[in-house]
Amino acid sequence: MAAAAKHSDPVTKISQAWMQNRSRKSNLFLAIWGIASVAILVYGLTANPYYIRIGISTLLAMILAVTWDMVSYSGQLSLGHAAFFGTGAYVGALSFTKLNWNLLLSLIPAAIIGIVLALIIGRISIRLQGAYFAIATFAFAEAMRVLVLLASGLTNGPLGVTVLDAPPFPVQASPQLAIFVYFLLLLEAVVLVNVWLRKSRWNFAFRAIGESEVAAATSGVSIRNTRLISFCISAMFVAMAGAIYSHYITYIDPTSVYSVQTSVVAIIYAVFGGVNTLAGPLVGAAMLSPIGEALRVALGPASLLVYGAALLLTIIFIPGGIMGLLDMVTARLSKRAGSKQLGER
Amino acid sequence: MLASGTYMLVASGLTLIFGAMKIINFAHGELVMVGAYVSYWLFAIFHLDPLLSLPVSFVVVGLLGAIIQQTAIWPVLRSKSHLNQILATFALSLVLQNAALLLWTADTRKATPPYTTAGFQVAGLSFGVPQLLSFAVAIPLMLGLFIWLRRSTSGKMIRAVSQDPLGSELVGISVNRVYLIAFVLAAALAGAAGSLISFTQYVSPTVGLPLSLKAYAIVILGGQGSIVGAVIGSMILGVVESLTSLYLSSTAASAIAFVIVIAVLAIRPGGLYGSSSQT
Repeated sequence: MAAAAKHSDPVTKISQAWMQNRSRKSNLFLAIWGIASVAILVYGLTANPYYIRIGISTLLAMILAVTWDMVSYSGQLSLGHAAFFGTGAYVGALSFTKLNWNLLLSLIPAAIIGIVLALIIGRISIRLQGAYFAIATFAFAEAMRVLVLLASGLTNGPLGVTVLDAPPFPVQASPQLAIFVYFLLLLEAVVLVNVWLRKSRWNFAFRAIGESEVAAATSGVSIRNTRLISFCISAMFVAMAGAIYSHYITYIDPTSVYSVQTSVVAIIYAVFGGVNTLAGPLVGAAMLSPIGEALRVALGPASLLVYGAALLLTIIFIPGGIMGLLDMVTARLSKRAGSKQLGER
Repeated sequence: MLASGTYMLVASGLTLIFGAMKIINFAHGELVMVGAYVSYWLFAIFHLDPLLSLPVSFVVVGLLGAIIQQTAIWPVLRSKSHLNQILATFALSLVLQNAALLLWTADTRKATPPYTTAGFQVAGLSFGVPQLLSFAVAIPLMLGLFIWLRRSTSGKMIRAVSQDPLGSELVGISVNRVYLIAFVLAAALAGAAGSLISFTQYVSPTVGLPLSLKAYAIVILGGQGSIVGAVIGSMILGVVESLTSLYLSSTAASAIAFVIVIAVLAIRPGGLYGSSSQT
């Protein structure tokens, strides 16, 4: 028995090394992210209203991208972000107009309803694979939009809901700055939970499923539960982002908050930055979202043309996204450095 | 109900692509949209009847399909990454849709041949002549497709590759060529469907998206990869939609396709006509 244990040693060593490498990577990420967070906060405090607006849409883009990547990490491609975003927005808006709750209070029902909705959608669609999951989530988002349109007694139907409520804030500040800070706080939560997901034992379940579903299932990983958990966490955050958004934009209607575009841009940011990496979705959103704003000014609604083209080119030429490219460059550099050392010796 | 003719053309193309390449083309509705614009512009500039310009859209969109297959689909097909395959066709739909938005603006347009508003009543049900015509054109096209798949060498090759790509390659079929043929044919059918749409409903850059969704509903309903299933699925969707708009509202009818998708996937992931072993 002891001999058998010794034989498995190299494997253990490799997995330990892999773990160490991984946790070193996530520590490095956390350090950089800490600095970036402070920089974002300083940006928000010093920028003028126009730049705060761009900052807000970038923060929202980051939240959407990271939460989408959480789902994709478990091997599922979701096209249903709009379902949670729109529902969160409506919960945020209606809890103000019907119950007179402020933004912070409305985050609670938004989070709960986001999870419940994810459980309902997940129960049906989580066992579907690849494109079918994508289509099912897509269909759900569209069905939710029509449902909100039809339930006009509660939601005002196509006329939409107006939310004129300054968000509560401990110190004197413009409502926009308050929204900026709330989005930043939400993003911090999203990023930390994302890091935790990847460090916890769920991480192994996710990776195992991503590599081979059959192998994971035979080693006792519950594919269903693992996917459902990441789907629910992601949905909760997206719904909360939707609630904050409703107070920021002050007017919502079914077409704008259940827009397919919400689901689409999340994917584009994440893929461009690099899927299944900690930094990728953040980098992708931070790079593309401001460019998108500028393009919207130049091209109008057709700015998605550039996004679509960027997505297509990324997939064909750099499937790993920016982070994959970075990894490749560092690998090549360290290889070159290694061969140099050998040569000197 | 007569809309099911157009649905058949769109859904059978989607089925062809899915059958041969095992990918779902998210840009399929956009190909229909391009076909619709081809017919619309030929009508607006040369006053060409959409029924006569149907062969033109058939060819033009087929060629567009060839370009797409060679430049965008082929690289991701080789990479074997499911995620990238879905994303690539999705990106394509974004590109086509927004290129149309940029070129032709968001205005809704409609070709208006003389028979646009004609209609008659039979047994209390009203029929529009354009809808009837589109149905009458779609059926022979579908029959042609069916016979072509059964009889011609290319059709047989497509069916062989759908069943077993590796086995087909072993007996000397060029799988890549079959992929190209399947995609071009599917795109051409989508173009034809576009011509039919140009005079039965309003054309805009976003006209493709709901059609794509309906086509997925049909394909899922009919069982993936089966042309007969696509025809049956189209009929069911057409009937259910018209009943919903008759008894509930047209808004509810627009959502019925999604409800069908969700319901079928929940109960029978293999589709009604397909094998239930698929999950």
